[in-house]
Amino acid sequence: MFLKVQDLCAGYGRIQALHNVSIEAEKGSIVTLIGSNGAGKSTFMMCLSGVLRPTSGTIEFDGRFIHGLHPEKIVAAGLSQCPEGRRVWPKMTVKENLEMGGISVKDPGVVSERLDMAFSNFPILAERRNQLAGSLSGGEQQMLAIARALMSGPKLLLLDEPSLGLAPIIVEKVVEIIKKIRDGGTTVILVEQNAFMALSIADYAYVLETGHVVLSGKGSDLLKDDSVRKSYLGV
Amino acid sequence: MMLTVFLQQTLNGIILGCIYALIALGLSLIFGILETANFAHGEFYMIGAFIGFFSTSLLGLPFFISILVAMAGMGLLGAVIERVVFRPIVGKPLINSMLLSFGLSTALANLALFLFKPDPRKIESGLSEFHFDVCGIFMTAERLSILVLCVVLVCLLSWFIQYTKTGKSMRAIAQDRTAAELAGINVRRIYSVTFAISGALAAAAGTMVGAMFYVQPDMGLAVTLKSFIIITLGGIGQIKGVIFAAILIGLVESLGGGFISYAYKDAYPFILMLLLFILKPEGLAGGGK
Ligand SMILES: Nc1ncnc2c1ncn2[C@@H]1O[C@H](COP(=O)(O)OP(=O)(O)O)[C@@H](O)[C@H]1O
Ligand SMILES: [Mg+2]
Repeated sequence: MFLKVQDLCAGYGRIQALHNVSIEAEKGSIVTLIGSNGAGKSTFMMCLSGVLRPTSGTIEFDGRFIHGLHPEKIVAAGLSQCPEGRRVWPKMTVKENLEMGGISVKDPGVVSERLDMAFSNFPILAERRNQLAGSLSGGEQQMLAIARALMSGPKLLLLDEPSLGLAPIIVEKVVEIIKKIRDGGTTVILVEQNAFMALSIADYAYVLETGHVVLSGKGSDLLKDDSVRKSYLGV
Repeated sequence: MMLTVFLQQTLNGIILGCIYALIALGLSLIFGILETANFAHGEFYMIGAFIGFFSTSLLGLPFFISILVAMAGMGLLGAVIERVVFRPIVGKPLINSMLLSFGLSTALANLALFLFKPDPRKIESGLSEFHFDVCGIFMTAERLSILVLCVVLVCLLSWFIQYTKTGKSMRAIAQDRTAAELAGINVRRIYSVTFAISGALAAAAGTMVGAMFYVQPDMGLAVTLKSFIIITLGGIGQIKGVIFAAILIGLVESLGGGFISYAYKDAYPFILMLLLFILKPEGLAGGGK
């Protein structure tokens, strides 16, 4: 298995936010994690990226165990994250934000290639390359955050609520981008509160409630599931 | 006559202010990037001054080489202190680093007192004999070269932070540490580098002051406090604001010393800060980081 998380537990001080979470992802697939606010989705993502140390459990990625590695080692191993709330560096230019996304790449030639690719995939970023990231609109910042996460050339991309706070037309654009990334061979883990969007494009889905995986299945199956429809799709 | 005194003290104040800028910029870097208040920063400056002193007196090195030796020595020591003392508490509330660095400050100052005794010593730059007068304003080659060196170091620092990969990483961490980790920046390495740079700048300033005035084990405390005033006035992480505030403090101290009384020279910066807090609470540069 390309990504295999087993019995992951994590928390903040005495608050336990994840209870024995086990999740798998096949290479080249889109796997989604849905759940309401506070379910532990971001906590899970931060554990994968090494920003938060899990208290127990294992994370196996691309044939090696990565739990306990420092974040920069995990990025170098091919796993990168576009965090919730975009978190671009507001007082750095668009170009600097992208360059920093490629900091784990040793070859400067590769970095400039990827920079060109980012600018051709996201023309709006090319237009604004010398503007401060803080001056971009929400949608533009989201594009920048995704483009930045791609600069390291990840094999696995984590997207934490990329549709949050965006207008429906921009959300459609984000969906197109996610599919394109998957088609390019990158595996995607997508965390969403917008469950309909997530389940429509996911190959496989997990439902997280207060730190527990309570349900999992194919995206298309969960779309038809009664409890999911009631709790997350509002129908 | 009054005008000559005024111009002389203004010049002295600017030189002093440039030296303060070196010290305060280092403190500001640590505050902005590690979110750590380093109250031992003045001791970095003191230790740097002693390294400079022994480089000239014991090793007989030229003044400028001694400055470089002090920068290298204190830079290295700064990185070690970061790793051993501050790393374990990074990310914890500010009170942790405040208490810890207060302790470190006291320990280092007392260690220096024990090792070097309280006697003031002077660094012989060999440049103070060369002097010239312009319309009654007195300037030595020593002070002029110190001024030039300060400007060079500040420009180097600005260039480093603006254009190098490490400098950009420093800015990224200051703006959003988690985003920096997620992008693959080795945050721990940047912490070491930041402390090294901060220590090196303080050491350069200490050696300069040791040549213009004296080197003493207790020289750090007043400088720490003034540096905190400067970064409060100038704005954390705002290079221009910090330089501006540093020169302002240098001028206030020098002009206050020349026109009011030299005995209270360390008090003027604090009075200025109190006045500014009352009159302009948003800071001189008017903004956060
Ligand atoms: N930095 C933090 N400190 C303490 N508790 C936190 C922190 N971040 C999240 N939590 C708690 O952990 C739980 C899971 O949060 P999170 O992973 O952000 O959920 P989600 O991303 O699904 O909305 C929540 O109960 C939240 O209050
Ligand atoms: Mg979240």
